Amino acid sequence: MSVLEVVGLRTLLRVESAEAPVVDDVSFSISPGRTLGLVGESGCGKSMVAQSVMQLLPPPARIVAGEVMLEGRDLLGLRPAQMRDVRGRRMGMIFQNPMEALNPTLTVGYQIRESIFAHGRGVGRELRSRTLQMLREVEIEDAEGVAAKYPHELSGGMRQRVAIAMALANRPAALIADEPTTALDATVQAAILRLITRLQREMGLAVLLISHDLGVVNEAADDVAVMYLGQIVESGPVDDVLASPAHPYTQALFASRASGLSRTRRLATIEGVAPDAGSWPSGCRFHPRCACAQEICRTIAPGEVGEGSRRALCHFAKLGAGNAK
Amino acid sequence: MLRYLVRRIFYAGPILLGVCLATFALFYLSVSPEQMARRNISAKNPTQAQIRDWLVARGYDKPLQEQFTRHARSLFLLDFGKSDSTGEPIAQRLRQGAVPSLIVGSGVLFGSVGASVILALFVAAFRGTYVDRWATVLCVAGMSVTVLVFIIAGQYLFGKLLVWFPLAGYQSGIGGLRFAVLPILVGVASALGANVRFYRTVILDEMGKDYVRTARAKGVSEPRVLFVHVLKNAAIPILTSFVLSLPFVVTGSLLLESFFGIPGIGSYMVDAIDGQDFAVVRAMVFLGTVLYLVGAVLTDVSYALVDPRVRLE
Amino acid sequence: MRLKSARLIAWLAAAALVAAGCDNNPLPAEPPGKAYLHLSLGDDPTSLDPSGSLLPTIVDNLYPAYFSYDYLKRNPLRLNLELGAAWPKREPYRLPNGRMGERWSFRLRKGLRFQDDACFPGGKGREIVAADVVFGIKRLADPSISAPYFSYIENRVWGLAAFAEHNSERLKHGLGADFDKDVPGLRLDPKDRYAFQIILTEPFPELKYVMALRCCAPQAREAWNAYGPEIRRHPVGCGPYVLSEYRPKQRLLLTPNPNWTGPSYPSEGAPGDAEAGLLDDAGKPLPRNDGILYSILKENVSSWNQFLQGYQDAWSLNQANYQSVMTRPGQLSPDMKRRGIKLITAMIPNIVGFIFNMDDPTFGGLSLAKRKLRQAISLSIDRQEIIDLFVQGNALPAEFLVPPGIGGYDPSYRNPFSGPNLTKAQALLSEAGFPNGINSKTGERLVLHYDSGAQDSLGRQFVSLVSRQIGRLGIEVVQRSWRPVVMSDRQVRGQFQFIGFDWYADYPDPEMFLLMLYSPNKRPGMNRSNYRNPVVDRLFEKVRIMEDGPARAALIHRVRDIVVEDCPWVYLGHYRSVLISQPWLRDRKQPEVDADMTRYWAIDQPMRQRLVAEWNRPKLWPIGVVALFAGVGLAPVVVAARSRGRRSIRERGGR
Ligand SMILES: Nc1ncnc2c1ncn2[C@@H]1O[C@H](COP(=O)(O)OP(=O)(O)OP(=O)(O)O)[C@@H](O)[C@H]1O
Ligand code: SF4
Ligand SMILES: [Mg+2]
Repeated sequence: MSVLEVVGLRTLLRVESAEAPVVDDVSFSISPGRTLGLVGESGCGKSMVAQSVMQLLPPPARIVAGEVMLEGRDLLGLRPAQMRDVRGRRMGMIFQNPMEALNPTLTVGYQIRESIFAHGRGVGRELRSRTLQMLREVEIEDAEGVAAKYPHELSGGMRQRVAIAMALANRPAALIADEPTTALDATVQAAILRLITRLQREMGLAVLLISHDLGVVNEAADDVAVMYLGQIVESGPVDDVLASPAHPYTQALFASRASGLSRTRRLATIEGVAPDAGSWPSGCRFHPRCACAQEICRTIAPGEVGEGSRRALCHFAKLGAGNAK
Repeated sequence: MLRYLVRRIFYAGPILLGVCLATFALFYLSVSPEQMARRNISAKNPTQAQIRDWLVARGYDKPLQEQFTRHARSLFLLDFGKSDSTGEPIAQRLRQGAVPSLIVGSGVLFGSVGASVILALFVAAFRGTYVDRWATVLCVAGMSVTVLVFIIAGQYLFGKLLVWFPLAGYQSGIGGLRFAVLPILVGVASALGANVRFYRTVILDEMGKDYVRTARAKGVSEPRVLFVHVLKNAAIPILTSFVLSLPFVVTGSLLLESFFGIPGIGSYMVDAIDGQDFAVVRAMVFLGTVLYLVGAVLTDVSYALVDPRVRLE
Repeated sequence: MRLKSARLIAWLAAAALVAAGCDNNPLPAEPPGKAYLHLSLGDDPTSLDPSGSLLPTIVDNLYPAYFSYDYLKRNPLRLNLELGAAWPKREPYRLPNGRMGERWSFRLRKGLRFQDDACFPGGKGREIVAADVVFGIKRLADPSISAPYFSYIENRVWGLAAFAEHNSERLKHGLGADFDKDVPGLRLDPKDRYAFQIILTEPFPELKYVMALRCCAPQAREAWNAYGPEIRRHPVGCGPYVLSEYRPKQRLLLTPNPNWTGPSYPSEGAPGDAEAGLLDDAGKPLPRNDGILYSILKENVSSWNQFLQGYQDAWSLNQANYQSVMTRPGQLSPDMKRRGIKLITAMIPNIVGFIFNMDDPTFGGLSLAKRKLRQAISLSIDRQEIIDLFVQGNALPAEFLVPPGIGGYDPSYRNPFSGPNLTKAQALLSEAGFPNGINSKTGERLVLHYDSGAQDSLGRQFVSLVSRQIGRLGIEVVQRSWRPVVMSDRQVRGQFQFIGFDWYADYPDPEMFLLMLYSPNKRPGMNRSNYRNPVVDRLFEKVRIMEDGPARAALIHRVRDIVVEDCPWVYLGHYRSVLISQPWLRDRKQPEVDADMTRYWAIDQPMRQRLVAEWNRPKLWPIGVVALFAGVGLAPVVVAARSRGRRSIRERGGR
């Protein structure tokens, strides 16, 4: 049974009075203790997916269709007050930039405590001890000292640990991590990643890990979903997809990575630029940039093809061919 | 902190001395002592002897240099002396007037900040809707109307139609409250337009920041997000405008006080300039400068209090 | 929902209760059974020291003098004894230098007392004796107070000028006035504590008027010793009232002085007074009210509105509210009539006009051509137009300096150079060598500089109207406006060609006006035009020492005929003060001298209470209007906010 299941999620974004989809018919599911890596170029809608799931969309965006099931509850059917209670209690989220994601005017301890008492769990001394315990759980030695500090007094890695402590303070079932390591340098990145994996294991978390970095996904994810212009174009177990990408976009992504100087972290070197929401091409959205594009790709949107745990969105998906193992 | 204060006090000396000198020079450039005397002697036609005696009695017959050192010295010792025109000790007038000025001024200040913040939060919560648009229109309208219109309208509405408050007047003690309400209301209303617009921008700015999203992701309730997270950060620019207007609380609001008969010190300076009362002018300029310097220090201190990133260096 | 609206209703009810307890009465509660007179002041009185105060308000009620003006009788004004026991005896007196002076012998009433004050032993007001009057007069020679009326007696009371000089010398060394030093012209009688004599170096019939001024009131040496210069805020008087409360910039309260024994309400009046009800209270004791409460309100608009609400009993009109009160000169507006407001006009002897600088090379001098030039300008001024536009007709066009009610005024006299008469003016201008304003020799246009201290729009409008009137002659009028301090400085220094000038009398004697023509009074004295005519000087010296009567009037007419021909002045008008009072104010007549006579005013308290309540009924429709607007404006927001906060995404998605 999956903890988090998203089916046919569709989110529109209003740009100058016209609305266009930014998340288009996205489906995935994550089981307890498993991690789904969500990769894709900048602007393809990864964060929109995460924010749709959390119902934290910025005002111009709104969810119009789909289902978001958390532990069997239909989140889209919850009233705002009920949803507020789900956030932070059953489902936590951490963000890319720990510099700005923490309130600069409140102490770290206060911000962690707040996420506990926002759900009425614990008062007084208990609150305090749970806060310190949480800080220790994210491998902060001097928990008391750090709790009294303000975010600007901490390093980036420490701040991200604090953010993780905040997100997991109520032992949620699911964690959404939107590029948790992108803003950190390499050694810290690895440590944070290890921390997430460890906590996931201990708590049996379902994790949605959003990243630019295939290395990160490779290291931490069990499954991977590749997004392009609001759609998931390919998904499947990490090892399989990495070994034999089925979708031309995925292939191009991996090629760009392989050809990069040792380890390029970003997926930005595919020919051409992804268009903005609202001006997406007809037919297959990838066709203007696709090396394998045929006439049909221009007019007819491809349907999903699947085999086992793998899915792809391409007229010419090489599911069988590549899957030699 | 201590070093900071010491340094500020150290800088204040030369600034005050410079202000004294400038006041002295400007005053004597614009009026001669004889004109001063003629303006202040109550006789319809002062005799030459009376003018001479008036100047002698107030030391204006002495060489300029001696006058300046004497004035500057007594000001630095906070001895403000007596008014040239009424002979009233200036410190006494300030003491008597400061309380009413303070009541009305702080009422207006706190009232306008409080009301503006609440309204700005309200408007910000409804950003992009017709509430926001109409609020902006009203704010601009409020900003372009002079205080005078607010005063007359307030007096008409509350004093004449509803008969809730006296048009003007004052009383010390608790009974004076009903005299203070109307000027405070009017002062708040007249400040609202500009404040709400400014605070709304500040608050919207903060509401778009990442930490707000983090707080929401933790499941923090919307009122808490606004009042704890957003407001605490928006407090920094709000505090600046607040502290900068503190000196005016002490010196009072000229129009409000004269229309509502508040026995404050709002018009003390203006009347003194009008009446060529040099003793009062130099005391008030000195005091104003001191208040301004104190205000600047308070701004810094309040920054440090609100924003943990700021250190007093 | 139901609970919330119940709470809202409860709140509104509470607010309504609070509002019902509020009212707009700005005045402090009065002791039961007392009715104070409610008046307003624009600012604190500069000084309540009778020696240093120019204005009669309040001071006259605290410091009565030897004489006072009759409340009702006019034309001529009459002096009554106030503190005096008898009319002074006036006799010639030979001074040691051989010149003939005058000796006036005065006698105070017995049993007069100062008000109670802590400066007296036991706090009880001491009996007033002649030495207190002498001390009061000596205080005028204290150089540190710049006594406004000192110049009237400085050189006339024997030894007073020397005494002042002595004190000025002491001032230079930082010493106070030496009141122990004797002044030979001020004599006490060793046998009679109530008698004193004033010895004058020249005859000065107007001394009687000076002895009616507050500056000659008795003053207690004890008060000066105790309070020094602060007596300007802490008066220790002897009049019908005492200052029982003084809150600067807020209010002053005068209450009756228990130690006061003075004349009562007059039982004879001027013609018409009986019909006007002014004699109803004849013979009753003064003061006629239980106290006077002055509210200090800087802003005219606010105090005027409080008058309209009935919280002020009297109001003196100014240019800003003539229009709302009067439709035509002497006619109250219908609204004022409906309220029962009473209109009172009075003329404190005054002259408003313009002066030429007689030292000016173009417009000054006594040659025939220059005289004609000034006469032409005088003829171009349309007095009535100015008076109608700027004081709603509340002035009498002036023909000469001397106003009605003053000896030497001739109602039938018409000044041959009173405007407007443009034909005659043009003719004179041509004769002066400036046909149509052009210098016939050089061909240049004549330029007149008109300096003023006009600061507000009304002042500037006045200046431009006058300039336009003169401009009709073809003269180019250049308006120059200065800050008031600078303007008065230029006036004193003679840096002007043509300026507005006005003057009012401190006492009702023609000398007060003619002194502006006397050459020894030249600038910086009051002869600001520097008019010099030896014949006029000679006549003035005679007039000055004469008693009023036909002989004096004849001399004044001679002066007038010469001066009108010389034309240093353009006479505009004698201005009337216009005052209104509430219907409940009784016994109000406006003095025609600069004096405070509020002690005669009585209040019909029941009527005041009834009308004030009637005029201040709350009108509640604004609450409805505000509630309606707020409701209509905010209802959609509330509805939207509710639905937004209550519906899930799925419920909203169908939209
Ligand atoms: N607040 C917003 N207002 C308007 N447009 C937005 C907003 N946030 C995102 N977008 C647009 O929505 C689209 C998807 O954005 P999203 O942030 O989901 O991309 P992303 O895949 O997370 O990219 P990145 O890797 O840069 O984070 C982009 O085209 C972006 O321009
Ligand atoms: S459908 Fe066509 S254009 Fe699209 S990815 Fe497949 S081959 Fe490329
Ligand atoms: Mg993103």
